Amino acid sequence: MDKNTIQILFCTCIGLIATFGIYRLARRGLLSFRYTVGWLVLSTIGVVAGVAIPIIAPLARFLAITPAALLAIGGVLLLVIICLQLSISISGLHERQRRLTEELAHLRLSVDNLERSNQK
Amino acid sequence: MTRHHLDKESVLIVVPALNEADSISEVLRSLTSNKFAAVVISDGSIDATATIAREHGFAVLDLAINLGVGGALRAGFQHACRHGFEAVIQVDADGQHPIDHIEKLIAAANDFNADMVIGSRFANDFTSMHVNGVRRLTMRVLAWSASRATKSAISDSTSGFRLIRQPLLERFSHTFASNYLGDTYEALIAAGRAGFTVIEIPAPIIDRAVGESTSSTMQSFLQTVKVFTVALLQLHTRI
Repeated sequence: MDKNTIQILFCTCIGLIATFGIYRLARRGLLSFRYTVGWLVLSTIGVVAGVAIPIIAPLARFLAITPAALLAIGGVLLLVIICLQLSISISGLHERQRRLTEELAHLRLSVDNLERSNQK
Repeated sequence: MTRHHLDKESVLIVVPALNEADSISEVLRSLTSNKFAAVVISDGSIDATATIAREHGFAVLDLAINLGVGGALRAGFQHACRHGFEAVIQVDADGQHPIDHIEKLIAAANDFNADMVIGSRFANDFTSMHVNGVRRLTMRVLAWSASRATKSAISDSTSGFRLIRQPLLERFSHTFASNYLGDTYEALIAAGRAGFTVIEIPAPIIDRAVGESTSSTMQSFLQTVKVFTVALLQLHTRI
């Protein structure tokens, strides 16, 4: 087996394991549909990444790096984008949780006041 | 702009409290005897803080989860705005803020037509600070930065004893940082950069009768560096 075939098989295996793992998480309800789609797209890219090595070779040569390094950089960039998107989501959720907590406290106070006025 | 003249009736005292059952009674007694309207925000307390406040006859916003001082204060600001108050005064539940100085904050807001009045523990006298070197240095840096942002001499940018008046109060009821120092230093920076008038007057601090401060020197220093960077890069909350 030559070096390229080993690389292709390795990437494909990793991609398939990741895809299966994400599918299992989604089936168990631990990942929402929105995030399942994002991660499945990423793992699918992983599956075909090995095949893409000969295709990206000219670009890697132009950038004076190996195709594997270019692939790794692409993977890291994609993960950074996903992390950034998740950070934005968490920030939004934090603010929404804060507003809900505030509203709940205001409502509790209104209920307390109503109960007190009813008792009088 | 015509401003509403502030008096006791138009000002709400906002008391954020986290597990302060041992100390809050004294503060509330003092507020009652001075005939102030107040709201206690129990910030996810697991002790009798909320119950004690209700027993004293005060409105209680009982937050289901801990939001931090800034989070609790914003809930208090919303309560003030919904009930038509012209200003709020933040008072700690641990009894460190002098209740008898509240009227001085109100008078200063009226005299100087100020949007925010800080009760300064040091008022240009940093030697009175009973803190170690690192904390003293960071407080000086923050004070210098806050003075620049507000174009006013600020000696105590981290004081939690302060008056906030409409329309700044309304703005803060929508957007108010909940991170460490977000309710003090960052709020000052936000108000100053938005063009609101900020002044400070001297106000002594009373030593805690019960409990102790929760933050270590290293934690405070790191958080201070973080919040100072936020201000430097203009990443603070926009109001």
